[in-house]
Amino acid sequence: MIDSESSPIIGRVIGTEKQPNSAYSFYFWSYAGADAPRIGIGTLVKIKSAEATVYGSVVEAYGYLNIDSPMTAFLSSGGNLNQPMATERPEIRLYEGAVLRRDPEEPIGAVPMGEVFLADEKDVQVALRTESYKDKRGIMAGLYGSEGNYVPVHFDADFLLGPEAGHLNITGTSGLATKTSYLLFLLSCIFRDFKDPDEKGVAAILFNTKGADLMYIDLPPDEEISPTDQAMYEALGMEPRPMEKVRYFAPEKYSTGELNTLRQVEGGAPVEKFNFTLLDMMNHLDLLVGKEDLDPKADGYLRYLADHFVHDEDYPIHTRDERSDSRIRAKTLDNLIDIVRQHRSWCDEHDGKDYNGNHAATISKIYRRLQMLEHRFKGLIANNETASGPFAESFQFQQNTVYVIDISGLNSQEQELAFAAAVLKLQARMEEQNLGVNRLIIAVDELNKYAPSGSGDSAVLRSLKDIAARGRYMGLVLFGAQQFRSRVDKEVVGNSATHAFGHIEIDELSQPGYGYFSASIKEKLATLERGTLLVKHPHFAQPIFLRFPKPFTMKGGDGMRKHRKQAISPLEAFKKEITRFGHLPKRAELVDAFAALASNDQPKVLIDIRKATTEGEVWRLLEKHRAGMTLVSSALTEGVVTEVESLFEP
Amino acid sequence: MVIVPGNRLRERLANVPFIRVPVPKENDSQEAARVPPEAKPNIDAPLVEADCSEFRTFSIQPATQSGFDSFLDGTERVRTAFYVGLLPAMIAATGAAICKRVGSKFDLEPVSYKSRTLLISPRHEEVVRALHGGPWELEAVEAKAETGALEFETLARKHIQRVREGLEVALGLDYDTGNLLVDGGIGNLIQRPRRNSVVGIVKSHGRLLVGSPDRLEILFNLKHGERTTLLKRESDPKQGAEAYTCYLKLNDKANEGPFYGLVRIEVPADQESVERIDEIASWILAERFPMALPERRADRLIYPISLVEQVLRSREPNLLEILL
Repeated sequence: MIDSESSPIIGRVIGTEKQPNSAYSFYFWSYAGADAPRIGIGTLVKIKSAEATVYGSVVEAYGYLNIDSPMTAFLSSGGNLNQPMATERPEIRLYEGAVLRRDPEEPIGAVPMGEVFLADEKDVQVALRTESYKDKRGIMAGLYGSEGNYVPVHFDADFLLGPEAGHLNITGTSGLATKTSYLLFLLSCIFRDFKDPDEKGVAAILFNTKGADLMYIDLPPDEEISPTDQAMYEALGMEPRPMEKVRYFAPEKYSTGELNTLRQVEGGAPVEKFNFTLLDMMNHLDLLVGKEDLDPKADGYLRYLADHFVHDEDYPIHTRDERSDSRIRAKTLDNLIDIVRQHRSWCDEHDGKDYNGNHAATISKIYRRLQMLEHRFKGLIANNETASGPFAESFQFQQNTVYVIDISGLNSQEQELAFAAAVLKLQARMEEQNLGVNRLIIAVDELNKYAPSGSGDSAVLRSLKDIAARGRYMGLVLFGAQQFRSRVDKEVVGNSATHAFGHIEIDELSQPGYGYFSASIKEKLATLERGTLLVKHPHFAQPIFLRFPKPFTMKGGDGMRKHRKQAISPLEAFKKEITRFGHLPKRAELVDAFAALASNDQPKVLIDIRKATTEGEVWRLLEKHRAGMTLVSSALTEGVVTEVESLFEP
Repeated sequence: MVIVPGNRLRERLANVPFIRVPVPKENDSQEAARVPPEAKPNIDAPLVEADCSEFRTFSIQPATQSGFDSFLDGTERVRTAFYVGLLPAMIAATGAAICKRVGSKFDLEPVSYKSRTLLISPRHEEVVRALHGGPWELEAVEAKAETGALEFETLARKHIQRVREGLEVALGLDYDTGNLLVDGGIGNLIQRPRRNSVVGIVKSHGRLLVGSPDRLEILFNLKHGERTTLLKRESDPKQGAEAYTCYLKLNDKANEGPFYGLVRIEVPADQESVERIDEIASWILAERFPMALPERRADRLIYPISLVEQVLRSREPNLLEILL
């Protein structure tokens, strides 16, 4: 452990006319060579002078020889690279630092010319101001320093989980063990460290959007823990353990009634069903029918349906001119389709007359769209008035429990709908303070999908903005992650008080949102190793680099391999899907059959088709992957082959 | 040196009559304009190499590694401080240092260092009283009524130069380990027996030790890596004891003057020096890289010597601060 009281001077502050120190930045020099002090980007230092003690973080490093130009170096060696040099030119290392804190705090003057030391544990706590809240509200955030010199760093619970500030935003390139790993690590720390005076505690709901990333977090990993991770766990005072309390939820497959999940574990935590009521879904009409189909007339009609047949008490089917005693209320999607069918019939019977101001063509259009929903979203909508899982009115969250919502088997549009409905539902219930916990963390990856920048308006964006702005007062905390922060709505990102940055591609780092990072910080972010993050927190005047151990949980891929059910070939899976129809599949059915195939062994065409969001896109993909159609064709009856092939006729 | 209020020269002289303190300009050259050596005619110095009866050249291969491990140099920086009547008082920062090199690693912390800050003023009682006890060594010099400003300045500069040389000699005499390379002559360092080797490298050639046309021609045509026959430099009050010496062409360029890269090596006047002169010359040639660029005299200046100069400059008191 470093002890700055007894450690040597590692530098001296220097200010020149060209590079003066300011109140917030400073320069110090040190020497180079094998015995040089271990100073790098992100190193925390302490400056001692008679005027003040200043704490800072190194943000830039320079090296100089005593020459004025590269030409001097060239000439002074005779232009010969192999020329032996009797004397090495003295090399200076110059570092630029950013001020974290100064003591005394006032006056905020230029950084004094003082001696520079490596920060020890106490210095780190003072520099980051963690000493003021560590014991009462501290939540372990990670480790500063390197092995043998680790210093635990804490977040302030009031600023991470509310009410003073809240939310966490994590940016990192996918697949580099940053976002999910840090999320799981931090949740373990929150569950361990969060002290709730009301004792209701905190729970987390995690959306598993791709692969089986979060589907085996209650199981230990296959491989042994590395000595590096072991050392980190020891420094953190934590036992390497999988998540202790986890519940898994997945929607049903509309066709088979099986749960659409990638978790296949015999014994252990079971996967439970989740869905929403039709009422929950009616807030997301744009997602239900597709934005491209939601013209003002269609929107008007859908709102009419929602107001009169879903939200409201039972409402008669009649026009202003006709009275009827036939009252109906849509409790399920089938009910709603039936109501629209009746409206369409009414129009047909009345020579195409408008139905209560809704054009007959609009009603027909919505009828067709809703019919398609039967297959697309049916697994998400309860077939009675009661939702299942954590989005049911009566569901009570338990503290220190993770709720994993597996939506990885859904297509993009379904995922968006599920997330939107969940967020809105949780927000409404949290406002009523009947979730069972004092704080609920909603964690979701690919935030750019749900809160994209510059995308106009949507219910989920409105909801996320609202949570970002007000959630901390309600106890609803958003832990969002994304690969491209620049593509996430500024309000959602901006209201996040704590930010973590893992490895980020240089293209993304060139976006304006990263402008306040020095060139070296950006370079470091672009090459950041696994298990290291740059962290911003309201108490930290400057972002700092922290390390964290690999979560002691089973990787999704390992879980899938280890617990996979008897595998069936994609061909057999497809056959199974097709034969369930019992008739020649319609185009929509064919599309859904493709989409329902959720296996990592699918051929490329099936994987791509699952990602498609419109029917047109599906057919374009099918055409693109004609080779994949061989497989498809062999699975179909002769009649189906003929029909499928006819679809590709010019 | 920390300049505290009250140690500034202007404040001290504020109420002294007959004094003018010009505002110092930052861009004034602080580099010492050393007093040029006295002009003396060239001479043919005696040859001392036993097997060599004529003045000629020897081709020397640079050593793979220089044997010098210590380097001695001195610096002086002079400014006009104020005027007593029409005569200038000069302030100077002088220093000397020996720095060591281990392998190729030059240690910027001198093993030996001395410095003095001098204030040389025409004698004036009130000035002496006002300047007493400042961060300088005041030397009040009696000036005759007819002494001109330039004459007084030259006197002051010569004195400063002597002080600087004195510092160098004091350090050099006390230093008795390793192979010491000195910037300049070694006459004053070998007046008594030494326990270590000392070699001087002279860059300026006010008086050549070759005078006859045939020797001058040989010197004129000296090629890079060649030395001349070893000569004897006689003792004199300024340069000290007699020493053996030879010319060495450290660098050469066709489009430069005849003195480009020409240095004169001084070694103690003994048989050992005669035997070792090729080795010593080869060490100096090994010091050719890196060149002391961007120094103006890089063709003749040995890089470690330039580093000693930089070390000294970095330790000089800020004269401007005293004068402001």
